[in-house]
Amino acid sequence: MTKTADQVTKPPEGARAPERAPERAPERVPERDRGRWPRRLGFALAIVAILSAIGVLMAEVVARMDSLQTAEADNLQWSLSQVEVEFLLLEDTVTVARMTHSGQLGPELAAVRKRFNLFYSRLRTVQTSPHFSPVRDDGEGGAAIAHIGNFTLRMMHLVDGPDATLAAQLGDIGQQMAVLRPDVRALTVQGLAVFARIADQSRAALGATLMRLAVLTFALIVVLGGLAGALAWLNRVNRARMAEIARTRARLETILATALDAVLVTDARGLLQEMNRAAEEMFGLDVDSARGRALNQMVAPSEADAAQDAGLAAYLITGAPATIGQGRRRLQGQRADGKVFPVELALAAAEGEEGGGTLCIAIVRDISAQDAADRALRDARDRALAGERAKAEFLAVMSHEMRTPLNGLLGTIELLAQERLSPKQAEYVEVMQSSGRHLLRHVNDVLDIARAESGRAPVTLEPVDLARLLGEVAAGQRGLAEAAGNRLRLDLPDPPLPPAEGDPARLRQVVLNLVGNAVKFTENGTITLALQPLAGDRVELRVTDTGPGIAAEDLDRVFADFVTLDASYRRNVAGTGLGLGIARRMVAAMSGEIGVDSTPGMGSSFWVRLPFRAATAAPAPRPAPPAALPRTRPLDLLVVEDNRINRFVVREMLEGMGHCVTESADGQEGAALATAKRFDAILMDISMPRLDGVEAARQIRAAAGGSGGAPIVALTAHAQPAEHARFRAAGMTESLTKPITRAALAALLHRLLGGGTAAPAPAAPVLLDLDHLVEMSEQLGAAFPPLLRRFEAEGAALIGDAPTETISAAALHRLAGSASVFGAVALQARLARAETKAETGAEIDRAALAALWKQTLAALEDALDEGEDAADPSSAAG
Amino acid sequence: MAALVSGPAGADALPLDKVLLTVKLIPGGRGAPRVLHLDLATLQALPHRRFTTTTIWTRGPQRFEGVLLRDLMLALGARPGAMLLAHATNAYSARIPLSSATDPGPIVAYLRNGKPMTLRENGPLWLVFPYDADRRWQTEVVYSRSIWQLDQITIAPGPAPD
Repeated sequence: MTKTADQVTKPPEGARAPERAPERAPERVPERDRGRWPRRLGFALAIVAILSAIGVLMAEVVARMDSLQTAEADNLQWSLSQVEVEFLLLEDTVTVARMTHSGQLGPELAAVRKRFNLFYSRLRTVQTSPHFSPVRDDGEGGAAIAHIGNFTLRMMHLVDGPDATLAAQLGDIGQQMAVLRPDVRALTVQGLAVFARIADQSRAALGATLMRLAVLTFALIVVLGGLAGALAWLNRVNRARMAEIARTRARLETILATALDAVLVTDARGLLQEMNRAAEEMFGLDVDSARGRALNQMVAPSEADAAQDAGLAAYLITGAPATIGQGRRRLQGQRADGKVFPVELALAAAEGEEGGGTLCIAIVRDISAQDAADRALRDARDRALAGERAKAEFLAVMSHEMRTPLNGLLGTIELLAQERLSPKQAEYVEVMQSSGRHLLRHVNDVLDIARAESGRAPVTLEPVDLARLLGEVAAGQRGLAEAAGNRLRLDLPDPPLPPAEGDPARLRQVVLNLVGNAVKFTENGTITLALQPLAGDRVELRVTDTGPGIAAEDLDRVFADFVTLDASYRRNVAGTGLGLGIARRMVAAMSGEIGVDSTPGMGSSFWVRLPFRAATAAPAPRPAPPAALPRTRPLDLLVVEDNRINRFVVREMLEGMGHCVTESADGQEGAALATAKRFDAILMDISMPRLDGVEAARQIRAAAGGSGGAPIVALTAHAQPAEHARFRAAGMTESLTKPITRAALAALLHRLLGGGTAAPAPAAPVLLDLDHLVEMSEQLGAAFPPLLRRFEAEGAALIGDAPTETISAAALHRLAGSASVFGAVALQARLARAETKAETGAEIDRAALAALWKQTLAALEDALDEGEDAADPSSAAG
Repeated sequence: MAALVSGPAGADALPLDKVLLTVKLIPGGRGAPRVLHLDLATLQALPHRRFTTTTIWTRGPQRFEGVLLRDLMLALGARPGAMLLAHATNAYSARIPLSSATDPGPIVAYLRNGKPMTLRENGPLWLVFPYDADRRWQTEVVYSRSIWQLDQITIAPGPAPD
């Protein structure tokens, strides 16, 4: 029995053993197995339930087995049958005693008594033992026992009584026993039946228990079988997963091993755990000896990085990766041999093995080569930029240096022209003067470029009326344009644009360059200056000509420096080829665009598009030019100029005007002179050895006595507005740009110290734009005197004392153009009005025109007479 | 004890109606069997044992008092490994190996509930086991060896005494 129990209980224990294998799986893939727990729990509960049921049944079986083991039944049946046996033996004994002779009855009676006692003891057992209660409770069995009991009680009295009574009753006893025999038999049979039934029941109960046990055992086997199947399946899945993990791992290891970047793995304290081959090579270590090395011995932040990235620094210093952030960093790596090299480092935290804490993965890239390349590139760029700057600097210096002797030359030529010369000498001087002015313009162009390149020409913004600016430029160029048979038109927007924020000097130069370019290349055509607003707060300036045009392949080149497109043009047109290049730079400096559209044979159209910002203030009115070369009382002047020639020229000019001149060769000497004596005015060069003009001016102003109150005029070479401001801040009164002409000197002195004998009335009508006249004479050079003579002839013929021409609109127009060349603004305006009248057929006031003509001629003569430097040398002769 | 087993003479001297147990000792070898007659006094002279147990033949717990079968047999000269053949008054008999007469174990009871047992009360001697004390005394074999109305024991040497 115990053996069976063992067989039943042992298999589950055996089956539980393989269950431990999958329990290990969660360590590797914990997140996946979590979902499996309910199923496992179900299995476990089923097994526990079945095992409990089997346990209960086992206990029952054992109990039943025990009861079988202690089985009384068998013995009880024996005891029961013994009642019948003893009854029959008693009956035998009684029968023998009855047949025995009364004399020998003694032993027989003793035998009866003994038998009765034995029978009694048997019956007593059946009557009292609880084991016989089923029989006693049975109907027939109970009745039989009662009958037998009654008889036994009666006979017991006889047996316990005297021999005689017993002997006398023997017969009766025999009869009663005979009658009782069926009862005794019934007791035995019935008892047997009862015990058989009980045995059957207990067997059936045992059988049922065993059957239940078998069923449960079978169920357990089924469940365990299912579990085994599930485990086998899980095992297969796990094996597949592990194979996959192994493949992934192998792949990763290959990737890491072949990676060009160093990969370092440290533990939570920043101590090295693993490194790949690239890391071994990079740091000159091998992984086995390097394990446990601190990462901050291998990679260290530079001081600047440490200050910037406290978290990283903390990590590298203390090795606590909790504070590390993400992203790349540039750090310094250190090889085992102590060599330091630049690295780029990326850090990431990763979960380590269970209980192992956080891992830190560092990917390190050696960027020495990249750094070197970067450095080389930077050096190359710096060199190139330095070269560019040097070039610009060189150009600026050179042009500046060229201007100084050139100024000397021009000044001296101007002085020479004043002398009494033979006509031939006068012609030579004129050629020299013209060439010198050309050269000066070229040098100025180069200087403009150099300035723009070196970035020393800041844009100065002020309110500009673009339409007026175009009109002024057009007026200035009209003479030139018409000299070549061109018509110069203005195409202005209606309604007019509001004043814009702009740099008038630049704008004027850009437009001038474009118009000048158009005038150069166009003969007997039309040049149109157009202004129109564009969408998006932009404005377009367009200069269109009807010249030869530009071939498509040359369009890109026209804005390059030193470009003159065609040799044949070159013969016609003089120029450095810098005009458009300068325009391009200036437009770029004003954040604009410049371009050209052209059809060869039809003409070109240059356009400039600029951002348009409406000005908040109104444009400053242009100061009205002086009516004539002014005269000033004799003055006591100090000229401070280091260049001997320039000093000489200025002195000559001033002395020619009747002034008294004191010379000084440098700022220190000049300042000393000026503080020692009171001059009427001081002319001060800016760049001088020892003490420059600005500082000298400051000292003069600081000194209490001397010339502290006198005007100081800066003599500058091509100065910018910003510099003028600096000069003024130092106490300088005015600036005079070289080359210095008599006219400019005279006008300036008159303006500063004017008064004298001939102060011009401010309200006097402006006959001549003197500046313009000077400019034109410089520009035209040798062409000026013939033009002037032609102008005089034309004027005399049309509106002179004895006009030879009828007054036509075309003639008036032509004369107006000529007037504009010589700055005869009043005459030009009057002629333009007359032209309009002639076109409409209205009456022209010829007398007024004739009077104005006379005044203009007188003013021109006066100006050219006084300011011969700016005009036609031949006038000296006439 | 020596007197007890001294010889048939002593035993023969007992009046027959006083004899409760006749022991027939069959020696090993060729010696003649010896017969011993024991009366209540003799049995009571031996160390007595007492236990209370239920039996399958009686109602309720019974207190039995008597001499340990083992002690009795050894006192009468039984050798270890001997086989006992116990007889009852009604000619029932059972074979009991001496080895099953353990201590604690079967006793030859002469008092039940403090009183001598009559023949009707399964006496005067009853070979009883302490059934309740151990399940090994609740088997059929033990029941078959529980001889009441015991009157004779034959002690035969075992098949292989050692």
